[in-house]
Amino acid sequence: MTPLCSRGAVGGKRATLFIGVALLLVVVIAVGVCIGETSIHPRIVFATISNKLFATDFPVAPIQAGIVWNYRLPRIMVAASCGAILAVCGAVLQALLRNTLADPYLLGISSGASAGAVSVLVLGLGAGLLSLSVGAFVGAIVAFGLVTLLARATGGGVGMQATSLIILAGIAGSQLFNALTSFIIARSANAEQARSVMFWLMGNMSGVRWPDVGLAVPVAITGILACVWHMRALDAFTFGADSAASLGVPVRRVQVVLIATTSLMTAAMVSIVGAIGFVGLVIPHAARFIVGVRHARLLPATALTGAVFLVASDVVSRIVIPNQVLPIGVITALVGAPGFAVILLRARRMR
Amino acid sequence: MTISRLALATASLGLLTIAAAAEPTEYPLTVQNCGQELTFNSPPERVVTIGQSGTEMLYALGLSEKVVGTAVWFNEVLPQFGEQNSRVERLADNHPSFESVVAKEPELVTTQFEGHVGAQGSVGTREQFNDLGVNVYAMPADCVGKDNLVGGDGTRKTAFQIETVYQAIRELSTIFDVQDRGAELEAELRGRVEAASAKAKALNLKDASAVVWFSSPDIDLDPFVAGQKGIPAFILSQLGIRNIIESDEEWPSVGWERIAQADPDIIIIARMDRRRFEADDYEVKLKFLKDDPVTSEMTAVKEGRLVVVDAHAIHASIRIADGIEVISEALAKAGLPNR
Amino acid sequence: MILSTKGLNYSVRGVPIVHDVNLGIVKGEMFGLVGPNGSGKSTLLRLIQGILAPTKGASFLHGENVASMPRRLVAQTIAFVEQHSDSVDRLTVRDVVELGRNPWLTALQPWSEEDDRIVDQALADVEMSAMEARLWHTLSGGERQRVQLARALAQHPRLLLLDEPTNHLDIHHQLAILGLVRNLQITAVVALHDLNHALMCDRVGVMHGGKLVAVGSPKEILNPELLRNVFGVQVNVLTDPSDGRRVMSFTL
Repeated sequence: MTPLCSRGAVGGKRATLFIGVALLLVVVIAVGVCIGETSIHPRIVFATISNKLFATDFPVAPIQAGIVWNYRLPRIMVAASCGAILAVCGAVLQALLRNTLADPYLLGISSGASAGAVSVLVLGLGAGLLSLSVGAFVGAIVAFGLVTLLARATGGGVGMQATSLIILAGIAGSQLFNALTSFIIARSANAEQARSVMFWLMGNMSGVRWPDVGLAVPVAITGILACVWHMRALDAFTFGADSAASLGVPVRRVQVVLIATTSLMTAAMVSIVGAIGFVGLVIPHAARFIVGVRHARLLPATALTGAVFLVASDVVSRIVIPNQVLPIGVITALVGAPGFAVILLRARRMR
Repeated sequence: MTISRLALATASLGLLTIAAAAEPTEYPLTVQNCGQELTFNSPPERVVTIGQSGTEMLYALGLSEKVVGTAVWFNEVLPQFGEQNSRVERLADNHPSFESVVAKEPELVTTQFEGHVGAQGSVGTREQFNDLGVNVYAMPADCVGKDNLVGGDGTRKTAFQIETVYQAIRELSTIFDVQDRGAELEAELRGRVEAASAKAKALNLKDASAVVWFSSPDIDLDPFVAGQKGIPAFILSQLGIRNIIESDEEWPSVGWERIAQADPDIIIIARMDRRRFEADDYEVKLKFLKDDPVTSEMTAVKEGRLVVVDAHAIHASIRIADGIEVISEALAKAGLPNR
Repeated sequence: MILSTKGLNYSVRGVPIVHDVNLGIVKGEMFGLVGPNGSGKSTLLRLIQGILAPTKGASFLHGENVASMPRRLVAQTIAFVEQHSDSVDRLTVRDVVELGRNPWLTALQPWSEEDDRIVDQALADVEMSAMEARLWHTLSGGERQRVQLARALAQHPRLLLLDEPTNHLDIHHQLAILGLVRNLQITAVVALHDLNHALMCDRVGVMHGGKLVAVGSPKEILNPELLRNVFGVQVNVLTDPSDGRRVMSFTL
């Protein structure tokens, strides 16, 4: 690492990097839109997008244009946003809690979302006025609130042992809501409902439309920018909260802001697409491997890698088994679990 | 309707003569049913029916006095059984608990789906009932050539055969020693099915296709549609129509992208009283088809070729003839191109 | 007076760790904080800079209450080197020292060449320039201490707080570090466990059971009576014939 060279990077080099990254994301999105359950020629894909964006007049069959514009494009954009959000949240929590195994669901968010979704789907909570998504979001926030209360009550927060207490509170909360979910399913659900919930729990991108993009993309942009704003503070946490405080970081405030931001982002995502695992856990490590641990580079790299990974996973989930769509969580797990093993092996080598 | 009534009358007249020769049951009676042997020493006096097909079949056989509890209802009971049904206790709209069934002290339990009473039954296993001296009669339509442990609602290895419905009528009428009535019912049903199928085939449609939409877990998510080998598929083949879905599962989840690209000529939508999912309501389904930017471009939606049919009429029951008739009429009105 | 504390108290669940400490640090002095294990030295250092909130009392930096100052400002004035530093990240030596510039960077004033220069100087001061690309987790305890000191120096503080900095160091680096702090002419509060090192300080404060029991020049404070009461040892003060320095020798 030759910091003098990278520091010397003038605005020009940084701008080139930024443009390159943006281009890569556009390419990935384009590829993701071209590949799908049924085959639509790339020519038709580009014609449709061109018609919509640049008011050109290429002839395209309305059904195919509709599929490209209303089904695939929103889905890919939500996948990219979701991948970026989950990965960045994972990186931020890993830095704050100084634990390489932290992931965005640590504070009970996915368990809460599942319990909320199941309550709406199986118990009919909300009398048909609440959708799955709203139920999931409410459940996620409730669980997160409970976990933070528990963490504070046990003395979690600033300090070395304190981060372990936060993690333990998160585990306790998650288990509680998991048990609640299982209980509701066992008591009240029939095979159809249980199957639907399972599908949703493992990540489901099939119902994504433009309104979801209207939620996912702004949340991703503002949330990730908020995290990037704190990039130096995140660096400062590397030796612990005391060290961060002595380096001028207002520890309590930064913890609250970052944990609240990551939790809201994660809850919003989970409410749209279900609980997709392994992205928040594994992608930050992959990104660290490529660009290092300094958050100025790590956070953007993590966001991009997460976006690309989830778009690719979505595509794979639709084409790997003909005529069937696998839950996207299955794909991320199949890649993430071996990836996780690699992390552990590398960590062992470091000692 | 007059034509089918005429055909019906002719057919039943013909078969009635055969039916008149039906013999009374000899007890003890052994029946082979879905891999199990059931033994009856006398006609059962108390029956609980889990699944509307068993319920209405027993009502049609004139056995409503013996039904002490019913469960699993898709639609309102057929009007001709309305009065009898009002005297029978409804244990649950969906699947009942094991105890609630047993509390009625039945001698026989009929089940429309193995998913309710079977190896992984949500009500219980057949052994659980047998242990308490209760026989379980599973509708052959749900077990013949079907693996109920694969796929959400099971997967068929061989296509559904309507014979299994007639088989159920015969076997149940034998068990209850009402074989005359059974033969009548069978004949009547056969007649109607033949008539409706003939009418549709007479239209000579040129490669018409269809999809059958049951419901969706959430209106935005992938719908449950009829697979290649189930009852809806049978109905479609009777009418000479191609099912665009290729899966062998009973009710697979298929994405709207695939359905829209296949652009079927007609879309058949299930109507039911159940409200487990928002999409159970057929009006919700219709609204979705018209509002969604992709499905609204489908030919069937633009031309209004949307057929609403009772959910129970596309299951293996005595209403299967209704299902065929409703779709057949819709086809006649649809103005599809013929050969 | 660059720093003063008034009635500083800290207790955990009713148990007092630091009790009623009134301390004044004079500009430019090297203040040694000694005391047996568990006497509250580390806690006092944390209380002084405000990263631990006192249960009673306050600490004042240039007359201003540390608790009401923004952390950034405090960090630009006070730098802290902990006893142990652990990280799970793959950091290089230079990465760690660069952290010291944190209090001075803003969105509008990001990293510049001046910061590079300051980091270079800090590394040179602790004799770690040759190792700047080494990974943190491959360093020995002593090397890590020196890197942390460089990081503290990179903060350009006016007050340096060191918590037992000589713990893992070999004799060369023990003397080098203490010598460096002296020569930097920076105000420093150094918690020490080696009483002979305390002799290098301008003033010494002795902690015992959370209380500051004595403050003054090493000669006055480290007398046989205090050493017997606080540390439980007999002392013999000798004079090194070669340079006339005082050396203490201890027996039980």
